[in-house]
Amino acid sequence: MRVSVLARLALVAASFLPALASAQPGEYQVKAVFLFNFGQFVEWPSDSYDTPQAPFVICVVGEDPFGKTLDDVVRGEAIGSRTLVVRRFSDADGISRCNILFVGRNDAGMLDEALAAARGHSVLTVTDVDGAESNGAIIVLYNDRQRIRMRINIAAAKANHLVISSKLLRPAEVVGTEGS
Amino acid sequence: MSRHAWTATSLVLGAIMLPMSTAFAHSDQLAELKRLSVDELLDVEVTSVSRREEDLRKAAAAIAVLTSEDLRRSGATSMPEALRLVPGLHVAQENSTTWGVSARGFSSVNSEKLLVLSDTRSIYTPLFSGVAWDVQDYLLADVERVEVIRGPGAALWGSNAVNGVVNITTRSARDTHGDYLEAGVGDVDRFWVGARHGGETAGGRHFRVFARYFDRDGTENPLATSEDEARLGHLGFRMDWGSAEAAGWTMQGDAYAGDMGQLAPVVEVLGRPGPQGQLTSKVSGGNLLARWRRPTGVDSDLQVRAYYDYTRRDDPSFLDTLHTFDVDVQHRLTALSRHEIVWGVSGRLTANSNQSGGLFVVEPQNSDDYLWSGFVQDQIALSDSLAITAGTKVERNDFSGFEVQPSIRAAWTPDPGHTLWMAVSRAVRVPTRFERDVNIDASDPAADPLFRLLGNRDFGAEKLIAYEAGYRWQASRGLLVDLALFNNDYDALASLEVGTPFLDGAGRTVIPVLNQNLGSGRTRGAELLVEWQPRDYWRVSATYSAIDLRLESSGLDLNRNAWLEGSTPRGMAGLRSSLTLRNFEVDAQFRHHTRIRRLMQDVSGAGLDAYSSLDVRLGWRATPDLQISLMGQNLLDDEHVEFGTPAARGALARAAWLKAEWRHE
Repeated sequence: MRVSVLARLALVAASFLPALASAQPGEYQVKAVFLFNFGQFVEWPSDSYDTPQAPFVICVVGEDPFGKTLDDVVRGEAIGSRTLVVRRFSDADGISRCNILFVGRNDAGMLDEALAAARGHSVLTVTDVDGAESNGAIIVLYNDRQRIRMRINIAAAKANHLVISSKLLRPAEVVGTEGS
Repeated sequence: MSRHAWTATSLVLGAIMLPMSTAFAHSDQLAELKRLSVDELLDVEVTSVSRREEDLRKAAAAIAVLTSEDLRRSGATSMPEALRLVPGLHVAQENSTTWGVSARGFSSVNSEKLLVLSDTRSIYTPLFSGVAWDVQDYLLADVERVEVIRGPGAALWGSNAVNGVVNITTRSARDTHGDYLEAGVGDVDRFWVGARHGGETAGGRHFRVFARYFDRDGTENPLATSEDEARLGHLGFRMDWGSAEAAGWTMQGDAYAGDMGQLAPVVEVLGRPGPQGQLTSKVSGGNLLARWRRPTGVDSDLQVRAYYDYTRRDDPSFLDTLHTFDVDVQHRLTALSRHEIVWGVSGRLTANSNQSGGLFVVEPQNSDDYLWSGFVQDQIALSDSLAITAGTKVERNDFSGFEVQPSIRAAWTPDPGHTLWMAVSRAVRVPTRFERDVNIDASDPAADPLFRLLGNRDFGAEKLIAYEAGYRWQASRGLLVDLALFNNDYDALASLEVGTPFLDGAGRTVIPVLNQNLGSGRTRGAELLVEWQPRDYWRVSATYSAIDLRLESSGLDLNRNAWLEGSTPRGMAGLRSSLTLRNFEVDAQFRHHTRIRRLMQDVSGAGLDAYSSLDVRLGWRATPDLQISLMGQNLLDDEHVEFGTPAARGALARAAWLKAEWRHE
């Protein structure tokens, strides 16, 4: 008798499941969405693309913490008329063609090499290595308890010829302003 | 259609529909996140993967971690109950106040070969070698994680980390701002309440204070004339301040007092009357710990930690007090880019007093024992995928003298998904006060000749050489397979022997009975964990462990230590499911232990039957601040026993509790 009641409950629960969302998203789901959003709140110089049809490129250097999440986020999306693609690099060679470059804290050893290769090119460098803004990273997504926080190094953005929207600057902690 | 046929059909339907109808949940969630503004995204609470967890995936040891989420969803109301989730650990509850927690064999309520640390403070007692689990009380909501290493951890943590190490870590006061209140009622856990308040002072010091009280009903035993009810109150605090870049400080402390009922006296001698009537241990204690940590460069830091711990146990059979002072310095540094070196030194004083209740004495009654130790460990990254960890602890203790406990471990991670590891280690279990200093007349004190159980200062440490290997496979984000194998060779195990007779002051012949290192043995086994998260809201884990034990003694082995080979189930299996449906949580845990062949303490040589158990928890987040949970324990039978002699073990009954938790930041 007990078994049949359980079975009926399972059946009822199953028919409701598609509408359910899980309790908490993973850290890298949210960070993937951040990367996608940065494409809309940062202006790249027009000469950063080879052709008018060239895609908008998000690169992950070193060990990839996103799995397929980042690909899922950008699938079918566009920045203006440009399609979005994700590329993965095991080292810093050739990353100057990236629009956004991400280095995860699980492979923090790649950070300095990647930042050096991106310096002076119009590449938005993003990492979740806490404190990396002082190494010259432009956006640092760091964890504050259960939430993600943003620190933006405005001088590093300028050096890479990028203009960051106030919509992104306002909720962020901004470092590297004139005189600081 | 008969009822049975209908049941089968709907179960099958349910099983098919469940995966099909949920295939889009992951992308639905991403779509939802993409609709959020930047400000809203910054407000989303996430579950994160810590550096620690990444390291654990590549660790060259059989390590399992219980997260705060695991603890919460287990429905455990005590730490030993929570440890039931760990694959390969044998957790056996003897009665309301006594648990045996053992890894890789030698199951006993002393758990003498398992080292347990609470925020790095050792809670392994040198009196009887083991952990008094009844006074290890936690506000589980503020426990960050419990790491369990099966196998030796002595190269880092020192003696008694023979078959395993349990590291309990509470949350930083930075992470426990706000108020938390919990209250529960049930038929075994009759009543409990816990509260915490946390915040930050104007000076940037994070703090929390908490209080807890529980009242647990006794277990059933028709032979007992005493009840094993338990009550305990606990106050504590923790402060964290400073910064990761400059210097960070932690200070924390606890104080507790309680009454622990017993079904039978802790020490019984055949033919001699022990304490009568209701047997209750009055327990109390406290501790204060301070830690200072300063980075000394990139990936290097220096840490100094000191604590004082006091325990008092006023038992009908004895009165024991223990003061422990411990100072530990550790330095972690990276050198030549490939080496991560950790070294440290520590000193510990245990000042113990054990006053006899009549049946036995510990001589001398007061004893100050020192432990000095140093360790060094070097983790060498030979290549991107191969790391070797070599290290040793060297210590000098007042029980067995110098001990050297080295280990070498190798981990090969050809790609982030696969880790293959091997290790060889040596570890020792040092003698205890009882083994060194006890004096019990084991026959009628007026008899001649007289058998007397005596401590033996020549009794040395029990020794282990362990060979381990393991394979960890992160097949996908949602599937983890973790397998560990071990072969343990033990030598110099305790064996109770007859010594050389002598004449006492009254001219009587005394035949001494004392511990000698005449035992040896071998254990072999495997532990398997499979974690599967088919959906963001559904997690399943399955565990299985098997062990074979052979123990023998070249002497008389009067106390039947070789019978310890019978006290661990040869097979243990567990299955756990955690489902989150909007505001509801459904958690189920099933476990099966094969029979216990015989118990060392039971002269008759009798064992205990196999048993299976099912716990189910339902959680409902009524409002963002309020959670209600209902737990059903031991649902498969009216009652079962898990461990202990007929006089000391209680039957664990089917039980339920209801709990409300309120938190406000």
